[in-house]
Amino acid sequence: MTIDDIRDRIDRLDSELLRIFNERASLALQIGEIKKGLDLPVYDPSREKRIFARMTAENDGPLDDQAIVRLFERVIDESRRLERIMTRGDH
Amino acid sequence: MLIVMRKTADEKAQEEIKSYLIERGFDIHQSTGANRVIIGVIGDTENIPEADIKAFPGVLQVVRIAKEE
Repeated sequence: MTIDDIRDRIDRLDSELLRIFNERASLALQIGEIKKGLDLPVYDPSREKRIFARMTAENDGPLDDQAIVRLFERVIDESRRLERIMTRGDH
Repeated sequence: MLIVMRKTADEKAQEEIKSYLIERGFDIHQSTGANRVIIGVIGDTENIPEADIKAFPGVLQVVRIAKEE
């Protein structure tokens, strides 16, 4: 396999990640809407902890668990931001 | 604003400071390293009293980002 072949594969995976990130964000917005209706807080540390625990338990590498946590921290940060916009209507 | 947590800061300490910031409408970017957790605070942080942040358990340092003229 050439470097161009590998880069093509990475590009396809990036496009797939983009789609998945936005699908996940859409679900986070739905959660935000439900939380708004129920007047629940955006920040749910126990839920975040469960996500980190599950993702590191399922992690087969080569990314180590700390890297997985860092990546999901960013995903969760952005989901939380969307939920906040949904629940409070601000930026 | 960057908030550097102490090595000894436990999850409860992190949750307290994050709740404080999120409830006040700030976005945060948490970065967990091997020894330190750094919380980046996004938004207009000028009105957050530094002393209030430093008073939280587990907070080592608060770094304000200089404003560009």
